[in-house]
Amino acid sequence: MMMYHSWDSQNAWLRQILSRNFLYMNRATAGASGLADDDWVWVESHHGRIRCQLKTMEGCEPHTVWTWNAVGRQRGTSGLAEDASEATAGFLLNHLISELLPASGARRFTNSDPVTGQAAWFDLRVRVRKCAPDETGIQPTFSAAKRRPDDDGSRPDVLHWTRGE
Amino acid sequence: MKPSLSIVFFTVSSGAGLGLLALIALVDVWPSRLLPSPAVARGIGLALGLIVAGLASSALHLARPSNAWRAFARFRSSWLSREAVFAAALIVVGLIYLALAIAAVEDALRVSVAVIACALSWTVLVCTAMIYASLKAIRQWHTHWTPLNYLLLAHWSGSVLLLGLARLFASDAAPFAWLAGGIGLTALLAKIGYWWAMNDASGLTLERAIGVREGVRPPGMTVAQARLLDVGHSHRTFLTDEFGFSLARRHATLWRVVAIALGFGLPAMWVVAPAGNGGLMFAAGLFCIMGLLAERWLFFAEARHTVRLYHGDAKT
Repeated sequence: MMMYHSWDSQNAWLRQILSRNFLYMNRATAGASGLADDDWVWVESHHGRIRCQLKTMEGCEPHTVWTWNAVGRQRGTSGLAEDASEATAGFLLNHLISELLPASGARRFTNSDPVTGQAAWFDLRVRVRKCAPDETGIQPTFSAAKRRPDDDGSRPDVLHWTRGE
Repeated sequence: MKPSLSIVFFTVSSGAGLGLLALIALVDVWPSRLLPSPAVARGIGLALGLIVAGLASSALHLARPSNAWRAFARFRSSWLSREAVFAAALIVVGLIYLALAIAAVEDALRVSVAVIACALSWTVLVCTAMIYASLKAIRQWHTHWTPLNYLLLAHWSGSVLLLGLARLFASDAAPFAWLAGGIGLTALLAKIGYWWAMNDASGLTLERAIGVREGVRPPGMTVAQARLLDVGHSHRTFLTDEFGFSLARRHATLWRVVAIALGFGLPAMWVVAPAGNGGLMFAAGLFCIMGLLAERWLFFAEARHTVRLYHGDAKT
């Protein structure tokens, strides 16, 4: 989310402080469900399911889970190396959220806030359950995106800026 | 703190050289002539060699050795600067002293140069130690034990080298053995004292770092202690690389045994032995230096910066 509200030149720094995300859950709720920090969990909605890693915290509404949005990337996108942690560890909630509300009558309504039009993330109901011990790593994953014609594939480890260049 | 091998070598090598130079100068101005001039000259040469090797090592560990001159800047506020300035002065004085000893000059000039060399050696040693002891954020360094240990260990390794010279050149090496034995025992006790003092439960906790009471259970919370929710970065950083070095307790014990056995035990056996050949002498000096390298490596590896509390450690 922070990338939306920053300058392009800040993204290199933003990547250093947050280049993968976790699913956050109330610590008491997690404890009652047998979940703990760093557990891999399946998150399932009416629309799909994702696999991600859990962190617990006190300052979260007991029946809400949340994560930093827009950290996860498809491999090969955003000018990142294919093994960038955005692609290997970051995840998106998009796979859980339908574009359209459930059918009621002949018309399908978009799943968005009726006033602002903003995509409606807030009323999605999900089930969170612990993964089997051998189930680790984010799901779903996709093959690497095709390179743009002007992309020579170079992904420098270190970027330098000099004033005036 | 991540131990940097060049700095570990620098402090041990320069320390041995500074200790040796201080002791040689003291022995040289002693009323009864204990060491002949050729032995004094060799001792000064060895000491200067060790000091210069150490200083070169400390310059080479810089990402840009051409920036080493900056170490001399900020004399009024930086122990590193004081160390560099006094070390440079010491090398000049040491070379003059060396020339006087080679020429076997026996006058007041040599005595005054020797006294200055001794005083400068102690000054440089204290400056080196204060670089670490002045850092409040590292409790394993910010203690009076640090300068004490630096001084004593430098003189212990210096006295072992001095005893080697004495057994080769002096008519009576016994006073030198007593000197080395006395310094060695004191240095060992001071090092054990440091480890004992650092072992106590006075480490800084996350609660104290953020200024809340320890062990308090806030209403509605599930934990009784402050807990780190997240670090300010999702991957390693300069701070975790340089300050996040962790040493397992059993490894620390092993290193301590190695430091004491090599640094004190084996050289001490040679110190109390009635005599020894050149090979044994070389081995004793080498073991002492190796043991002190292990000790100095541990001094860095066991130092835990307060910033670690903000990266997941419960205690420093």
